[in-house]
Amino acid sequence: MTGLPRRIKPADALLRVTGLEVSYGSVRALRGIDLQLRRSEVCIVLGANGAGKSTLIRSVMGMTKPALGSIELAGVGDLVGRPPHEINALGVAWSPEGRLVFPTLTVEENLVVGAFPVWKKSIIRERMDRVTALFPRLQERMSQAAGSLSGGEQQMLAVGRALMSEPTVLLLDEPSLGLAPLVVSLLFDQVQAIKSAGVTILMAEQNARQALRIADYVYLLTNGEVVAHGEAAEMEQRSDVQEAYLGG
Amino acid sequence: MQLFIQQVVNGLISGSSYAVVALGYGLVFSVMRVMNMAHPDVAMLGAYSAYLVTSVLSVTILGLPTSLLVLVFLGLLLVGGITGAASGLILERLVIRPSLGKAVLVSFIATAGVGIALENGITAIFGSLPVQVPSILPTWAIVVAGIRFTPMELATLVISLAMMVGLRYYVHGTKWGLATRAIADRSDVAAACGVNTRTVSMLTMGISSAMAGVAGVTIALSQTQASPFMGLALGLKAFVCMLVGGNRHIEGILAIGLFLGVAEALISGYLSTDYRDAAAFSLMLVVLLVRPNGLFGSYPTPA
Repeated sequence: MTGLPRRIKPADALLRVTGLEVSYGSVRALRGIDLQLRRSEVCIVLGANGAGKSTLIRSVMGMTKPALGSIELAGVGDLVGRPPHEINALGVAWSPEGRLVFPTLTVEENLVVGAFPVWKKSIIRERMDRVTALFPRLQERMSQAAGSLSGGEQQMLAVGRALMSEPTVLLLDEPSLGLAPLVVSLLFDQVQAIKSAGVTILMAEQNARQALRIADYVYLLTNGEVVAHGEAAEMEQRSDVQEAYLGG
Repeated sequence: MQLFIQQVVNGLISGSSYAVVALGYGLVFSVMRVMNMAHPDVAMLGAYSAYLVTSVLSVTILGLPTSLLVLVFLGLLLVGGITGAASGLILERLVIRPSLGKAVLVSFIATAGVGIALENGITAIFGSLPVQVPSILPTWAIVVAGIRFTPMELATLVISLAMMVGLRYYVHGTKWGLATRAIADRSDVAAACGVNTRTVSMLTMGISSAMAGVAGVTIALSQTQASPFMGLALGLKAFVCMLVGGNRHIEGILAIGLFLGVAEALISGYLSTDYRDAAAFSLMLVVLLVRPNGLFGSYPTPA
């Protein structure tokens, strides 16, 4: 069943990853990944530590150079070989694993960097208002150093910073990592709100129970390979998924 | 007391040059995680640019009214700045960019090699002996409350401080400065946010090297000479300032630069110039034992 590619009407396809292979020295992190994103959906990539989720996301962002394969963005072409700032300009934004805010910059400065290619102050202000409407906590912390925020707040900032570029594709790398269940639930509600605003989301996760709640489509990644994929509702019913990710 | 204040003033003047060069080390490291060991030799190139221009103009400079000499002086600073910026950009393109992302030692050795090449290249062209540079500004001493300093010394202090205030404004008050700080924090994330890290690297190298070039001109004019190896002592002292202050804060490096200059001047005045250089390195030893990241903190070294 893994052999069958996902079927999306060409007009709805936004991102198509084909035969992606990445190696770190002699370690093969990704062994021929095929993956597709449909416009305005939340697609999650489930997998254990070291399955290759981050490598996949980093490859899309241009942070990791694949040995083989292509990453086609609709209307643009192959992203492989382009530098990250160019991929950002083409409408892809990234919220990294471990949040990785700029710790010495204030919350406001972090958001401004998120919209770096934009110089017009009124546009930056407008986008910042939209981000703080989504995450009101950031408004209260605006002039604080980002390094002094709590884990949950830093995650909101990382997502907010990514949204500042008004992306068509938002890459979320394990946003739930190290957060309390209540905070994760709140965060995923906002991810759903971002999707409703028309942003397509590719999210790497380990927290299957919460992630499946907001997912439209699911890819299972094991040892750098896609072992299964399907609509979220179907995947949730599969016994192997329940055993591996939902605790039986 | 008179001697004490005089030595403090002398120290502030020489310390401000240390601080300017130290800032270049620090800024380049924070953005590129590269130790640019050719940096003080860029200051030396700036000094030689002043020598070249003044030797070409030598006859015409004589007898000019003071107001025109001030213009010549400003022109020399400009030439030094351009010389520095140009050498910095060439260095960035040919040596530093290929060593990005590799171990710190790679760029350290590569740029140290460039430094040696520059020193010997200048020796081959102009000889190993110091060349004479005329003092453009008047040499009479200004005396304020018994403290003596020349217009050139005053200018050195003012120019160094102005460059540091300007740099602080650039880093904390402009958008490219914001990008610079973001890159210093997390270079890869900044790139993913749409910051062209290559542009910021070039700006950083250009600005810090221009500052070194200007510092080289002020040193050449105050000492009325330039030598191929003048960068060595300057570079070591500046390097110590950067390590002791840490590269995170411009103010920290400025404070340590001035402090080191004053400490050296006091030791020279009260003990002997023989012990002067010991000041820098004892300070470094003590501080690094207690605070390995410098007094005011540093950006982390890549693994």
